[in-house]
Amino acid sequence: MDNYSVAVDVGGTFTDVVLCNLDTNKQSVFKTPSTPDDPSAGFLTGLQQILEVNGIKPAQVKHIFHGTTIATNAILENKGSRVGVLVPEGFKYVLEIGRHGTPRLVNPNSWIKPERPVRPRDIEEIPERVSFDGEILIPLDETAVRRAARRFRDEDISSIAVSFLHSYANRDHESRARELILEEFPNAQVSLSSEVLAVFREYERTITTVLNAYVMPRVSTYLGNLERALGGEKVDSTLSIMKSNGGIVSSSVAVRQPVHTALSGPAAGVMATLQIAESTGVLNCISFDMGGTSTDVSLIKDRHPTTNLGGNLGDWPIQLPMLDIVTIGCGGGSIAAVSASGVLSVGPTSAGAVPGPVCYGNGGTAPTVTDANLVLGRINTQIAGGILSLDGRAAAEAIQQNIASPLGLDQNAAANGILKIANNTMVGAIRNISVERGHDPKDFALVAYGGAGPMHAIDVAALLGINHVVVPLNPGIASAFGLLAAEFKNDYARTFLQQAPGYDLDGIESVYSELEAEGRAWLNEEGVPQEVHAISRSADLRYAHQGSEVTVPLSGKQATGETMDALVQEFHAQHQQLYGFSLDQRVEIVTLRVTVSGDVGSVALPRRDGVSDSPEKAILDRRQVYFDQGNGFVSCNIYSRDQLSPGASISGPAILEGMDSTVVINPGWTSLVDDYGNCIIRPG
Amino acid sequence: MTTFRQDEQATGRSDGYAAVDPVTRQLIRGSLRAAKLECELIIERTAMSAFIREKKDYTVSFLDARGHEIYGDTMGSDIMGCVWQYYPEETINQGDVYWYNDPYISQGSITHTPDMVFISPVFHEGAVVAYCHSFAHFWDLGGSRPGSIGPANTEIFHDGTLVPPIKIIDRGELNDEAYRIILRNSRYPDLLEGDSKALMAAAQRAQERLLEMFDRYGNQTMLAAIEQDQRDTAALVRRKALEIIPEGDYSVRDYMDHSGVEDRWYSFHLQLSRRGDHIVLDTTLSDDQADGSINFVASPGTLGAYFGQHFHQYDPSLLSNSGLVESIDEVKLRPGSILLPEWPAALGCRAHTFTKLKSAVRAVLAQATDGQVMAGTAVYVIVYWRMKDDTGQWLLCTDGIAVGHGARPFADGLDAIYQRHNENYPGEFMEMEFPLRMERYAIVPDSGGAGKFRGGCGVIRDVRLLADIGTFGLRVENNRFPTWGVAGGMGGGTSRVVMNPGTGQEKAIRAFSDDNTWSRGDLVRIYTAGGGGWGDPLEREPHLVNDDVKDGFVTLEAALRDYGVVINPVTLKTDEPGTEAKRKDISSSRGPTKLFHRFNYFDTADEEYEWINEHFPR
Repeated sequence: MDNYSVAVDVGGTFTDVVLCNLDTNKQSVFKTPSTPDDPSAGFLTGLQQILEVNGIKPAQVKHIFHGTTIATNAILENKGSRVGVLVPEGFKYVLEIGRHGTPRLVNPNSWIKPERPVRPRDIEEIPERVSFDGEILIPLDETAVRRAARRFRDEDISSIAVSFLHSYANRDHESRARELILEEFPNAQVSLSSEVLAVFREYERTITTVLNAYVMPRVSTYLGNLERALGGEKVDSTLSIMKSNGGIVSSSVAVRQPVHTALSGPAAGVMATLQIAESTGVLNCISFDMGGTSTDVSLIKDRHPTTNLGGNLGDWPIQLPMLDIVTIGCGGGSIAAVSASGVLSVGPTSAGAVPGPVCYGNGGTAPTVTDANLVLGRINTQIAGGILSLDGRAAAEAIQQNIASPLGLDQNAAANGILKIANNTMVGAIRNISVERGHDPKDFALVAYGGAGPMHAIDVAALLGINHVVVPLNPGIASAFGLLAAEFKNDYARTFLQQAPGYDLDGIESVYSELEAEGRAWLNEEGVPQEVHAISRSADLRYAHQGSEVTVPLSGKQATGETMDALVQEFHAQHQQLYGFSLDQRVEIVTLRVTVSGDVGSVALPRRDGVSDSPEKAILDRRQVYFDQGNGFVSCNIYSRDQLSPGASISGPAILEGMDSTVVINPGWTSLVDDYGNCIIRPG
Repeated sequence: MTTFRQDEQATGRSDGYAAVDPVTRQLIRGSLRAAKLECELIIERTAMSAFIREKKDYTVSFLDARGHEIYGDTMGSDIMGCVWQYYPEETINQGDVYWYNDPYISQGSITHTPDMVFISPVFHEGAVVAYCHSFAHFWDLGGSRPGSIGPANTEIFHDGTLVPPIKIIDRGELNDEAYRIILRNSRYPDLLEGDSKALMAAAQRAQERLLEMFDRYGNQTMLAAIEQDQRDTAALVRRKALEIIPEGDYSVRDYMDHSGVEDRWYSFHLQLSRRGDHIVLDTTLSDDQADGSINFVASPGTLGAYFGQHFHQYDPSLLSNSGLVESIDEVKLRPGSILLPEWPAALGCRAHTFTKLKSAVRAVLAQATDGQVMAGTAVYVIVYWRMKDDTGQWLLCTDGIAVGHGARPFADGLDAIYQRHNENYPGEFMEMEFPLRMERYAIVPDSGGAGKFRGGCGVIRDVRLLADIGTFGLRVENNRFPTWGVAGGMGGGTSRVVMNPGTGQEKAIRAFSDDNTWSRGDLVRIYTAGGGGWGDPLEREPHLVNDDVKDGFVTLEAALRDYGVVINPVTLKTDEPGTEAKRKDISSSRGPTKLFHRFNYFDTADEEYEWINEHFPR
């Protein structure tokens, strides 16, 4: 009997499942509505159905890979647990004060400070103090820790975060605090800042640690339930969770550091992009995942997804290493509106799944990007294989009333305007991860997926000067494929400030060794065989006095005079590329980083069999479709994407309709189906 | 008296462009916003002084060929006027970068010397079509003490080295000689070099981005879209001004604690008058210029923009641009007054005056709208920690500290915010970089003015010196005069500074002062002021008062005294019948509230002026 892997990606609307035969690499897909109240229900339905449809026994499933938004949603929707926090004496308001600023583009007269995930009343001050170089200035007041732990126990606050100043330099007090808490309150779940994020800046480290504690009860309950239910289904496989850095960890590890899964969903998309790019021989690409409410973009250079040291989730900075994904509030459901002063804007307000776009007929009255696509003939009034019927007239009326009339435009120009503004917003996000990081988007392919991505991809590519667009076979469930392509991966970091020129090489080497040992211990825990352990070292560098660092890889295995010189040279070069100048000034090493990974059987995209000998046989229909760069509406062929075989070449204007997504091929562009079913679309 | 008419400044609108369709206009607005953010990020990531990179005191703005703002944060300043005085337009070349910090030559487009601007012209089809301008507050360039500006300065030369408009980059070539002179004048030339390089890179990147936009959308379309945006913003603020301000006269006065030199307060006076559709702002009854550094070189554009910014909030979909200045018709300033000081008055600590001026704009409008404005916001705080390191070098840590902001008709004031998007130094950063230890960073209970909506609270910051010797300068306002509350809301709490609190060596330090000495082991505690409240505190929901008590923003005593909320000190439960009775009691003994509150309830500026003269004689 063959063995299988299953990937389950739980999104806001649908739960996508991919089944992969590990012996033949034959893959099949299944989609079921998500169940937001208890996402495990949709997960299990999807799993049962795909096994049943394919006649597979639960015992044949060896690995389950999971992308989850439990942590993400708990944070974004303020639905985490009550958390107790320990901080040093004098710093009870570390979260309340934060960095004492407002976001950059808000008006302080109207801005309202977001409520912190924990109120000051639940933050206990503990006499203790460590200096920036790790010296203990005030010993830990153990009685105070015990007292706080008992209070939390009495008030049933079981998730506790500990964040002491400079704990990256000496974690003894935090570790001891955990021991004491557990003695008083054995059922407590404790998050230590020195484990979650051992780098400097107390507000950022504390909020990240608190968020970890905030989502831990939900994530552990969810994964626990899932494991039990899988056991009940007689599935005896490992359950691995996608993290924000694009790696997977076992569910038992994810439970300890759940905040690392905050970008689990989008990260799976990036890993899918990597897999798609590899299948078509693309080294450099930009992923463009446009869904209903938002669009995620990221950049892959030389087959490596770019990472950053933290972005924001909702109102909070999360300074963990994560894939460099920029998310903007612009998707198919984004609402177009005209302000009192006649300014047309699109998003970030979204019609969401309910009521959804006007054309869905579920009570939506505000025109959306999807409505504009429908009015312009870019999507069919029958979608999802005819399951869903769209109301074109209602969409047109909404655009006429809300956009065209107030602006004095005709209806098509208004609809086209909505698309242009949405595209411009997405171009901005892509420039953000390319131009602003010193990369020219012209050197990259655009890999488009998500329900709406393939409809907008060519317009967006053209605006950026990109002449190579790739649309995978199943754009609507690409992220689930990405889960199958992932490997085990974890990042370890510690702030270890070193001022030039006298770097402490032994000190650096010993920090690296410790981080590496931690990493290897974890790989062993995950059962990753020694021979596939991959270790890489990097460091965050800056010019003395600068406040943000550039992460530079350390070539060579050890910190020696030679490798450190190379590191510094590489820093100068990257600074030049990123910012347009470098300086003849002292360079500081701030934080040392180790990434460990191990590939234990990621799977590649399967090749696609031919289905018909001629693209003409795939033509379903012919209709009028509006294109911006021509004469408006032109008549074009509508193809069934499922009926196109590898090698099929289709010149725009044309529309390829699939089960979960529509590909719009502009005039002047030609699409070629490759061996994996990807559409490779280029000018010509 | 300088009278200035906005319609004269608004130069002849060309009217020569065809209307641009609303879609293209929005594409252009989106591209401008993205370009601004991108260039500002360059500054944030590459600047060296902590003031810029941690505190984030920087901006990038775009101006049209007439020097009028396309989009940005220049707030009505005439950035280009003084450049053209030295470099007539026809001498400006592609690849040039201009630099200045001179408040007097620029007539207040820069208001104190640490603020530096770098300007890069945008050439398209052979002519200047726009200017890009990066701006930041620099660490140190000359002046009396590390950090240049400071509370004790009495003339502009103490505030630092003046850079009149110069061409620092000439067609791509750095003017190395001028650059050497300027770097030589800083105590920290590495920082100055890093910061100025970052600002030049940002201005040049901005220039590239604008050029790309002119290429993409076309010269005429860009120019027309820019002009239409300026007109739309102007029309909005004008319309709102006429809607909101009834005919009549509205005046307010606010008070600065101290000039930094002589121990007396100063005040400014604003009178807004509307006759028909003509709106005039008259500041001429303000005090004469101060002997210290709190003078503010106001310009009609700046004051106009303060009002414009208030009206702009009614439709933030429009760009913030030169149109902001057009809500009022005329601004009267008196040379020699604290709002238009004469050379060579010191200007370094002008934030005391202009922060109160920004609040005062709302106080004027409060009279026109029956209090539907945000209450007074405290003046954000700067402390200059200076210390000698082991090698005998003087180190400087310029520390920006948060205050409480005014309550709004719809929400509490912001607790612990500096101003806008500027950020504080993490304690871990301070301790790593300087021989200082931060020992407390907390909320000051009861500093937020009581109200239906509470004013924002100020903060406590405790800093201990770990070097042998040091000095410190304090730019702390609202020590004598707190923020005002409105619509029944009460004034905020005051600031204060104390050294070694709770020890035998405890000593009060003057809030606005310099050259205070401290030595190893001394600890300085700063309490910053809170914002004013909005609405009658007796109308605040008791459960919100209870929350504030549990979280330490309001004490039990103040809950009872100001809000009439009775809370059991042990269980922290609210006694509801007790609260009802207490509130009736306060209401009858207090009488009705008035429009403003600071020390007492009052309705007019004259009423308060009389009270203050009596209780704080000069």
